[in-house]
Amino acid sequence: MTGLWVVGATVLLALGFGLFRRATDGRVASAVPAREGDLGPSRLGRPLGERATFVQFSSEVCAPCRATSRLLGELVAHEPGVAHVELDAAEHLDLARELGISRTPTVLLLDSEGAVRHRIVGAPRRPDVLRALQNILEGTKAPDMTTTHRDDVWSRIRTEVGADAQAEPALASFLHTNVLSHSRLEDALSFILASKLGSETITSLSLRELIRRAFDDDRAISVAVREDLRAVLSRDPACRDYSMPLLYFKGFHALQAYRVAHYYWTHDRPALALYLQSRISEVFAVDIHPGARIGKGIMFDHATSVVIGETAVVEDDFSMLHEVTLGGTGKVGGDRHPKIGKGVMIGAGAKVLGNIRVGEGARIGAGSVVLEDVPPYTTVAGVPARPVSYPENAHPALDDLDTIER
Amino acid sequence: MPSTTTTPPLVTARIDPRGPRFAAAVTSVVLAGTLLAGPQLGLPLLAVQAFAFGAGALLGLRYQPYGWVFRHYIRPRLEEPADLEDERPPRFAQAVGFGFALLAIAGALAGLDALFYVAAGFALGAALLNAVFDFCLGCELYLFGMRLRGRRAGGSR
Repeated sequence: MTGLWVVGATVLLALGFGLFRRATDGRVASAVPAREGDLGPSRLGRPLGERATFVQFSSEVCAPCRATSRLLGELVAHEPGVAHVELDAAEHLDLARELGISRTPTVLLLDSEGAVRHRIVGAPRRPDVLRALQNILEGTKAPDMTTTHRDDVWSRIRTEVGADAQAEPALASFLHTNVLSHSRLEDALSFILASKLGSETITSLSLRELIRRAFDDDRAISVAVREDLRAVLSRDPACRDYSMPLLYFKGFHALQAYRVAHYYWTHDRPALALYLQSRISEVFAVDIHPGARIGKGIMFDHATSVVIGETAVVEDDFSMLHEVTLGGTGKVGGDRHPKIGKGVMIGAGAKVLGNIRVGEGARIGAGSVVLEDVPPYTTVAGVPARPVSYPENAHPALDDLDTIER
Repeated sequence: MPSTTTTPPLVTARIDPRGPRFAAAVTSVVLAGTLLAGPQLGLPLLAVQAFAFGAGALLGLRYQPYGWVFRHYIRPRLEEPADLEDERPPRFAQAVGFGFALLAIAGALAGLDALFYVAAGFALGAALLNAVFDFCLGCELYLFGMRLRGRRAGGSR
């Protein structure tokens, strides 16, 4: 009879304990910095990573420790500046005691200064670790004062999104992770692009660093991003605020991702640039060769099925709709794609083919096939496209008698 | 301070992780049977379990009888394991189990029923955790024990 009670009680206890452990194991907890102090290389016996370090306490007799080292090892292999240090707790008992480590594996995540920022007891789960790491890496670059200061596009986005998050609880967490948790527009945009373009080949986390590097290195991209947002807001009647293109418009996403690809194309990493092109094409159905040159203040409305070839050049303040091709004729090599002037507008489904020039302020009607130069401020339409009207000069003040007579 | 970043040596035996889990399930059943039978009638079963633990801990998991059954009759019917694991953690767990089994036997022989029930109960709990949750209680106690021992030694390191 006693045996029955003991078995029953043991089974219940074991199940309860097991379930509790399963729920809490591997959770990422924020560390209390004052209690843990900093772990410098001297205390650790190993150099720290430039940007972050995983310190894993393991023991010989711990199966989950092996899985954890494999996970972290894989992770740091793809993250430059992040190190993984594994310590045998039994050989570092003093340190284990000071840090209050009583179980293995316990993983501490240190920032670049060696301060303990997160603590994970039990085998961690990959997405949790990634999130914690991203959190740390975000802090490693001091926010750039030139853009946070009086960046009115970004502060308007934050206001808009903050209001949306209040009004729509179903989206609150989405809005928070994509916009509100970031301190710069570049951080938010790199997060959004990376989460859309990440794949097994290049994870969102690594991709995000690549995107941010491009943004940080080439300030012209940041300027262009803001001009593009302004362009979409002023030209698209369906767009009510800056946050819509940032969050939802794939034409905007594809364009900004192209800017990153173009950056790597021009910085001696063509393979990465071509990989990005293929991902952008897969994800957004927009195929822009990273070699193409595109100005700022650009809107790709709807954007599905847009193709822009390698030697195409697009000047500032350009708009176009979906299913537009800026392509070659297939007859010549070399410089074989169109040159589009400032302020041009191309309607849905138009194909502009060959090394031709579309002059400033011209319009191309939907469904046209354009094979010859288009003079400035002219509207063309049809297959093949012919001029249908000569709109007033966009700058009438600059008109002189010669142009009016013509 | 020596810079001891320990990567476990690769020469230790690698085993199919499902083996120890199977053994833990069998162990749970045997120990539950032992407890239900009580200190007198359960003693032979307990002796069998203690023998199994002892073989696994002292000779290696290859000699653990349940593990042997797994390797010869069950594993051939299963697919390849996704991963092999180090033998040391489960072997340490066998040693912990062996300790509890010996205590329980001592309790049964000396007529200390409480000791029998408590020790066998702990062994059952640990085996259940291992079988159901793949969670190794002994392994967790290891570091805890090391920390205690280190303290007594005055933290000489």
